[in-house]
Amino acid sequence: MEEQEKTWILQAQAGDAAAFGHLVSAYQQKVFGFILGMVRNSETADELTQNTFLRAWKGLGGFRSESALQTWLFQIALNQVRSWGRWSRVRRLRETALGVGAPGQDDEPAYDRFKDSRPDADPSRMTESTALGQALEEAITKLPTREKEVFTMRHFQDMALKEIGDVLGIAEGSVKAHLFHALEKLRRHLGDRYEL
Amino acid sequence: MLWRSFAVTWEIDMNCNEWKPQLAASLYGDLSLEERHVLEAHLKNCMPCRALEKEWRQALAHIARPGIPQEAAFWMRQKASIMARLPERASGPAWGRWSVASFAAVASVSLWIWHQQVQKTDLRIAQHVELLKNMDMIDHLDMLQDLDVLENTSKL
Repeated sequence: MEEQEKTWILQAQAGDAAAFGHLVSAYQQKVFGFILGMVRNSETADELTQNTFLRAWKGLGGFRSESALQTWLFQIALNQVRSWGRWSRVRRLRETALGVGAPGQDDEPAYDRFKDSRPDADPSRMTESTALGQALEEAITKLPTREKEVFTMRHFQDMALKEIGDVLGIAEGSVKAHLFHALEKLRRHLGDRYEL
Repeated sequence: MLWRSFAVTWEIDMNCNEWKPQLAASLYGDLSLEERHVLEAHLKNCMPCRALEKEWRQALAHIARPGIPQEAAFWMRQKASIMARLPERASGPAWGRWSVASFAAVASVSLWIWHQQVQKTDLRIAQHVELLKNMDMIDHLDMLQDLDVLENTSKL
């Protein structure tokens, strides 16, 4: 951990909001990207990112500098995502029971927000890519929670297996296993339902 | 095209199932040099695993990364919203606040215990007084005399 960051943490722990602001600036994009990969909606990711930092401010007194701040923030963010996921499911069930709104209407993955950011993206293949991409989006949302978390962190965040294990509190071997199962489910989902 | 290969059903050697987690990790370069060499030795002799690796790579290539906003205004607005919502937080390390809270808790418990003891003592005294009031003084004169002796002895 850089010395400057350690200083900001100590100052923020002492109640210095300006120092905490520096930490927000340093990590907001990473936290946002982390959350966005899992919730697949920019507005939701924005809200949960803000909630993450508010929780971090309240709990910063309990943070120990032996662990990485990013890992700690990601753990808080993960809890925010999980809580949001539980609340979303309850709301969908309630709306379905009451017959108001389409199930999951507000939580549909906003695929059009996720532009193909690959540097070698071929515009002439957008139709094929978009259709396949949408199918993959659907497949990702259907992954079991733990597999989706591992896949998102590895594929979208380029997080190391050890760091993923630290965030989730599981061994590196378990991370590999979850990653494999996620890839296999994605492959089978597309193989069963989609043909070009 | 891409997924028609799935029409072919592979008979997967049981050993391949042991390789799959390593194969998945290799897609992201997560294997050590030694692990990669061992995996490559298996892939040389295993067509199903080579086909699986190819299909995985093709699938992953089509998964677009979520678009992170590039505008500085977005991040400034988000930070401003976070800072505006920060609640007041007591300064000082958490252990200081816990120490004060612990001391207050111990003091409260001690005070309660002392108060309970005082109440019990008062009750015993009241019971003795009540007993003495109801005693027949003549019938228990000898006991009263003994108590008087004890009291005088304790004063010496």
